[in-house]
Amino acid sequence: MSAFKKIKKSPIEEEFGQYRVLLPQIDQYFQYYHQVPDHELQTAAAGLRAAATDHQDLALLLPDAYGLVKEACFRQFGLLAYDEQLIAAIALHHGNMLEMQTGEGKTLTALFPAFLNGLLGKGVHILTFNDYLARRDADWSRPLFTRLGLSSDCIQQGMPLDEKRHAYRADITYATAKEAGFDYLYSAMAYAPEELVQRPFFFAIVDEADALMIDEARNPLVLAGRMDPTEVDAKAMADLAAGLEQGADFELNDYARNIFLTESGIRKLEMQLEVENLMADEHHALLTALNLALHARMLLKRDIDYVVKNGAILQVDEFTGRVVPDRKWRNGLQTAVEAKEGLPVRSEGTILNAISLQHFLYTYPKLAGMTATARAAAEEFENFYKLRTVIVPPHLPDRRQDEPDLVFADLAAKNRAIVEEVKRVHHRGQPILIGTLNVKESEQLANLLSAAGVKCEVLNAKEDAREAAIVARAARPGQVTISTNMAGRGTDITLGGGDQAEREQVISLGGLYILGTNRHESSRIDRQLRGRAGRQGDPGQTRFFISLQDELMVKYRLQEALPKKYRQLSGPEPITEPKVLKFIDHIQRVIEGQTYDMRRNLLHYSELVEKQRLIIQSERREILLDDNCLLERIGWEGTEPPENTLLDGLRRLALGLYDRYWSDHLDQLQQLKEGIYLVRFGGQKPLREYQRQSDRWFRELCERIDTDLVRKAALLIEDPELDLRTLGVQKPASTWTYLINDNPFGNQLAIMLLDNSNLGFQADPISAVFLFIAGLLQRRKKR
Amino acid sequence: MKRFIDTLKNIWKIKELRNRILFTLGMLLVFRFGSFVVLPGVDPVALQAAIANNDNPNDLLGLINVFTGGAFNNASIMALGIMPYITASIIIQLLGFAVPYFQRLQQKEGESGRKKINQITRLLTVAITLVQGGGYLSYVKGLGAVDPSVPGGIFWISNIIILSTGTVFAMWLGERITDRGIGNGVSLLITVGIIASLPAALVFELTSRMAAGGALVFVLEMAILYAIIMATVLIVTGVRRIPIQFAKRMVGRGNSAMPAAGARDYIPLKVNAAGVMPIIFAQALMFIPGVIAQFGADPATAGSSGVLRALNDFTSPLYNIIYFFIVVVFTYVYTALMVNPQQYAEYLKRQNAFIPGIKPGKATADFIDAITTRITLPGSIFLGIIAILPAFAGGFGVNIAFAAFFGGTSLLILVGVVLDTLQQIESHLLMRRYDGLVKSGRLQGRQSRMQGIGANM
Repeated sequence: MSAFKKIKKSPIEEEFGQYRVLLPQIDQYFQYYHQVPDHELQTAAAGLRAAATDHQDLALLLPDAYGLVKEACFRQFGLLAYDEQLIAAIALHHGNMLEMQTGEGKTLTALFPAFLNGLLGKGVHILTFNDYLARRDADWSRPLFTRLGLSSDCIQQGMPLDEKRHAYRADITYATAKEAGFDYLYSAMAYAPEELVQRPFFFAIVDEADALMIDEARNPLVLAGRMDPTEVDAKAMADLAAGLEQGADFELNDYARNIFLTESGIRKLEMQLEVENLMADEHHALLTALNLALHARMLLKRDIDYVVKNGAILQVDEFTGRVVPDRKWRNGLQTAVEAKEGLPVRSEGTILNAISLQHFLYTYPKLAGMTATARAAAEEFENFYKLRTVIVPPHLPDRRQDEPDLVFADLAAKNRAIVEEVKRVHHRGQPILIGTLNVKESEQLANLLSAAGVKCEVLNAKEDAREAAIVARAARPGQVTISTNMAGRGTDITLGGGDQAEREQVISLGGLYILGTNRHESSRIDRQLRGRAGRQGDPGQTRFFISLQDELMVKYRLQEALPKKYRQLSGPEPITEPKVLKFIDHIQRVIEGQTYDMRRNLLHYSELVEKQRLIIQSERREILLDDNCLLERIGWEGTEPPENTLLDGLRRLALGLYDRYWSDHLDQLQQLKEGIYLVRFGGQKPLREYQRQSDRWFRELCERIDTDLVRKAALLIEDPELDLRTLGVQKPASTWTYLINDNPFGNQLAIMLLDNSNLGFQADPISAVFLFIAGLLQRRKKR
Repeated sequence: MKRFIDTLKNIWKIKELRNRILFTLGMLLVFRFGSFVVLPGVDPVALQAAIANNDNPNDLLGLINVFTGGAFNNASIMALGIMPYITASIIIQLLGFAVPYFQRLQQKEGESGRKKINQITRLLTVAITLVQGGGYLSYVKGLGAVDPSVPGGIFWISNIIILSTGTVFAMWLGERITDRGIGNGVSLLITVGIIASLPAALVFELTSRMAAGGALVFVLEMAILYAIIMATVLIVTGVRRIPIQFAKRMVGRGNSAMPAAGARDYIPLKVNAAGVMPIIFAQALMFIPGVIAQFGADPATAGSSGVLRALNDFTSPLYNIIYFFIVVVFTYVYTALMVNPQQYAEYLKRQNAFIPGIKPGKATADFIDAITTRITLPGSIFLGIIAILPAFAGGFGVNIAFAAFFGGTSLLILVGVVLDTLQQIESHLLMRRYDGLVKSGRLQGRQSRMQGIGANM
């Protein structure tokens, strides 16, 4: 099989012959534009625009347009695009995934395809990793696009609707992928044509593509409404949960993704609550609340998963390290966390509409991406997004030195070594950036360093207001900065902070030193942190200090995976056993494999729902925009259309029904998904059963919408004053995330043989003998 | 019938599905073709003659011959069939019980673990074919079907390599089918082997019955076969649903219009969890008296051992009674391997799921165990009946080749695999129907929605 695999084309491209041939042409145009005055650049841009709107093939206009942008960039920023950047820019136009090292000018590169495609006026979206980058890049590039007669704008979280709509009308729009996704969902629930903020999608360039398209792809974007709080007293549950002991009363499952009560824990609770059987139907809400309270107590940690600010729970985004204002946990978990922290219990979130980031990106007819770490994920880009990866060599040779990891037996030894190292580096005057895992760790380390007499800055979700200032200073001589993953990606740290003399000084000291205190769940994220140093051929140095007690190692049970003789390691010295180092790499690979599986499952499970969404969405849109369609759907019998207030009421009724049924459908599917893998016990395929059920429900939903619409419209026509409370759809505000896993069983053999499609596997007399013996052993064990 | 034809038309209209089905058929054709290519150095005529002398289709080799679609008795390059691959897969999975390394690969490592497991399975497959190939060649040689002019060394080395290659090729065909065709490749290769003899057997049965003037008997036979197939479908798909509740999310929303039924989760416990394995193994065991009889075929004592003779005759009542009981007992043994109540209970506990009213842990395990035991009894009896049905059919004068389709492993595998493949086709049709609706809109496409293309198939 592997021999056949080789024949398959590699998803990575490192030859650019087809792109390179265009360089002389681009240069000719550039030489020409180099000579002409400013206003002629504008005339040329207008000419290109006319040609583009006249259905000229963009590929033919490319050399002219790129030459023009190159000259405009030179005039605007004093930057002359390198050939590598031009090649990359051509690759972007052709819908590829670009790997370009940090500091090689991804932002500049994106301007070229953005301009070329922006000529059509259909809206080019440049999707960034966070709000800060969207604003920064938009502000930086705006004068250039203005110079060339194109409009550009950016979307920010919490912007008023009309500003958003205006921003989406621009030729080029910078936005975070998530915000654009939310606006998409929001538009799908619009009650008036003005609330449709987006135009039909055309082309998106995704920055930090691996973070958005891979790491975060499994997190769906969710618009949530309110849910009635239950009667169970969340405070009392939190107190009960606080009285339980780990190990005796409850346990954590593998990788600490779930928590569950043991038999003795249940007995204890039954006594305290004075109920006979907690598992009985009437106590279901109670049991659920207890589970949630336990979950809140053990699995969601303050200053890691959330921070408490002004008496409210603020979630911290797992990937960007930033506070997400409107995000809430779903279905009771938010209440449980609020109760745990002793805060007033607020309302709950329930799902109104949802889409995975992956499917949201699919809605763009043309897609391109760029990141510094594409290579490791090239296969996934190809399989999931049909994007080929183009690797652009750095313009200047890489001078960054990645030192091998230092591995310590325990946390104390690691922290001691980190403090020593920081003191040493700080003493030399070399700037150092310490990348930590979460708010808590960043603060602990800051305390340790202060105690050792080293002054440091802390950049985390609590200090996000000072982000730009801290980043600007981070590479000045003698600077010590501790950051969470807020500085892990997209952050551009200039040596010397813009001062030429200080820059020389830092370079002579070896550039910026990056110290990582943890390995991340993916080696790509590690590389991103390293990438903060050594930009554009600057010197730089990186090193990870890790310990066998790090969260990742504990969560994924490194101790159990290690051969016995390495389990008792201790002492302050770094461990040099190559075997141990190998196992740490191995754990990272295991995690990457698992998350890949989850994403693939998510993709398969959402495939049908996405088609259903398109059907419902297009119907809803027709009702929103076309009165005749609305009247036809409700079975309007009059020859004249109804007067405006009634028409308006009818429209709200119809749209409200669509939203309600759709959100119920999503909620049902969500529940179905959590339990569907149990059908494996019956030899059925979970995915297939899921699709059948979701198809059944969807057909019911369509019929119910049809009949309900006619019935309720009749009521409204009869009494136009009728209260439309059935529409009670509230303004969507919050988001949450979830994970699914399709194959959770230990006994793979039984799963394999129980599967109806594998019946052929049983037709083997030889293995029947082995299986018989195994079956006998199994029965003996049971006795 | 009309709906059936409509469904076929729809399948044909959908390009991807059509291509997948044609691809599958093509691969199966290649496989069948391979089973007719005789190994170099083997004299097919002498081989057929030798096998005809020793024709007991119910012995172990006969069984293997059925599953390889006759390739075994043809001494073809595919004589070992896909079976070594199955053996290897099962052994590797069994190792997961005992060896921590394999357990980790299976459970923890996702895609990379699966790739490694596949790799090891393939290597083991080759190793198994080398051993089995040697055994098979000495069997063929023992039948005196090898051309004496072929030098021994060349015969052994080249043919072991060829047999090994044949199996690896079959394995590859199977993977291709799973990947780019429809259905499970390995199961389909086995199935196509089983069906291979069906047309000839059917025609033979028809002509012989017609010759004897028994057209009505033939019709009756068909009706009975139909009834048996229906019953088999029931038993293959039959499950007992145990309701499950999850206690990890609050439900109860203001304006929900949730349908009450259908949303509940359940564990489906199979009535026949053991599949065909009990019959296969029982059949293999029943072969032992035959071997003993062969070794003890001393002319002086041959007459006295009536029991041995009866055990060697698969139509005798004694044989069938013992066979029936072995199948019933084995069903329990294999079910124990397939259904592990402790594991289910532990799993439910870890998911915050429980059976309403029943405590997690031991109580849940006992509950599942009790239900499993209860539903396994009818399952095992039915399996026993299925196992002996071919002998009954034979007793009623159905020719041996055709009687095999009245029950036994052939019928069970056929039914299971065909059902599964149909379901997969149905999934494709489902997706495709939605593509149509997305394009044309539900309202425009309402007509086709009402017709429900393939939805109720």
